[in-house]
Amino acid sequence: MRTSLKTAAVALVAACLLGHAPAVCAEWLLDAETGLVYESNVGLSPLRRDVKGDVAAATSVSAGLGTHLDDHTSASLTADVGGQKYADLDGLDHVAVGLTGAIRRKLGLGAAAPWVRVSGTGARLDYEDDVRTGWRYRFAVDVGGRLGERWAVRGGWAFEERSADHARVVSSRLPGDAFDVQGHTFSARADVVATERVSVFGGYAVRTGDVVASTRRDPGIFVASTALTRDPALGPDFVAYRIEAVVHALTLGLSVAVTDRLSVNASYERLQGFAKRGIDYGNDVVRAGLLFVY
Amino acid sequence: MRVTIVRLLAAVALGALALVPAWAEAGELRALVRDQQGAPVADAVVVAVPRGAAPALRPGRETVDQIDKEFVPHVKAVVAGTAVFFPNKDNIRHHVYSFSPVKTFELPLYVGTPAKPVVFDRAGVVTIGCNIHDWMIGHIYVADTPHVGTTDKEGKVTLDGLPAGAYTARVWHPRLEGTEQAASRPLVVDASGAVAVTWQVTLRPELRPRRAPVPGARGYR
Repeated sequence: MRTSLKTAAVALVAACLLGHAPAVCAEWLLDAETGLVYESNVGLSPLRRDVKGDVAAATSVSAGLGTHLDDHTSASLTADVGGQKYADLDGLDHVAVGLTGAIRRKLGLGAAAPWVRVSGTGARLDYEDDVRTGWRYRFAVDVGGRLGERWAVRGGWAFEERSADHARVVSSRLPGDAFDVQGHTFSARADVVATERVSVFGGYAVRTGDVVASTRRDPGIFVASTALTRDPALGPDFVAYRIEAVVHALTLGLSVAVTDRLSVNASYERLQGFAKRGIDYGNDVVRAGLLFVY
Repeated sequence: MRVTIVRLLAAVALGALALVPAWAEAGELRALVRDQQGAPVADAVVVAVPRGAAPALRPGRETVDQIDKEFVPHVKAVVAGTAVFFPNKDNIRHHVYSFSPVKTFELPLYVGTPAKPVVFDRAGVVTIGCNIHDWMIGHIYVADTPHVGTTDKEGKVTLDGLPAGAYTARVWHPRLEGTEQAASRPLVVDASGAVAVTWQVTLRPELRPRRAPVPGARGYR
């Protein structure tokens, strides 16, 4: 009996992997997003003299397979490709290629049942200016649910780590791996169905951990930093520094359904970072674009 | 021989005459449903309940498909006692459930068509959903009268075969503002033909979980 069960399980997995049993196992997933992103302070600089704003064209595509493990649990594995092309700061142009795996479980029956989602992402980042080139990993746990017809809420925790391939040492007293950062993010978000086609969403997130920002030489900032490296993407005399900070983010967005699979979206995000010695910064991020899901 | 033919013709004529009253007494209700803006309302259920003795029901078999992650049709009207099959015509699995007091059931994840149908033996409205795809919501209206139908895209439905008499006609829609009873009206179907009835109903916005993507919300994935 056990042997036949094992054989059946192996056959099922093999059929899934070979794509011979899509009806039983999996569905194709495809998400595509394109749009513009404006940042008022790309380098997250605390000093007005070093603040640079720029706009980027951003596109991403995720494609993969999803499956339902049981009546309440779904799993997905997608390959993710994305990139940004900046109008002025060419060194920040980049491509990201990675994989995302996720398991989502509903804790009950029905649209109002709460859910838990655990996900992990690994991505290779390739920047025009290679001081940022490296790897990014993210592990997240999100929970959510619907509150009546109009409201949906969710909250989550995420750990993110980024490691750069290169470290351009600029100081004998500090390491050059400024782009090796990690941090924890706690977030909460609410979505409200305003009309049949329009949804509004708002959220708050707080991130603790390393922040990498860029500035021209400033002794006060360098003393507070834990790593320094040259950052020609922002300018020939710019230096990227890593510092421990707490970053608060407030987001407000609007999503208009064009079809069942396509939406037009816009959002505003205000980021406010606080580090020791009063090294604080702000960044306004405006996004607008299209999102397609198959 | 001639006598036999005459007798045969006479028998046919008598038989035809015997059928005429029954045919003539079968009227029809031609219903048109519009919303508050005057636009035609599709998927509205129109029922005609005879006043007096409860009519005999002839429940049969019906289907509600699952196509492209939607219940098709979105609204299905059946008479009490009908057995409904839920064929899954997608190449993924679906999970059909209902919390409705009229009929609570669950069809765990499946592909194809479950061998056993679900029998809807009590009158009322049953809302069905898929536990994987939250936007998948459908409605089964279980009627206690054989005279029931759903409107087409033009907001029209014809209920035929109505015996002459007095009826209470009602209209129901998943987004109906107010109750079905509030949208009821008396009417008389005579033996000669059709009765036309137009409803203007107020519909609420459809606020079911949205299928279209929202940034940062991954739906069921």
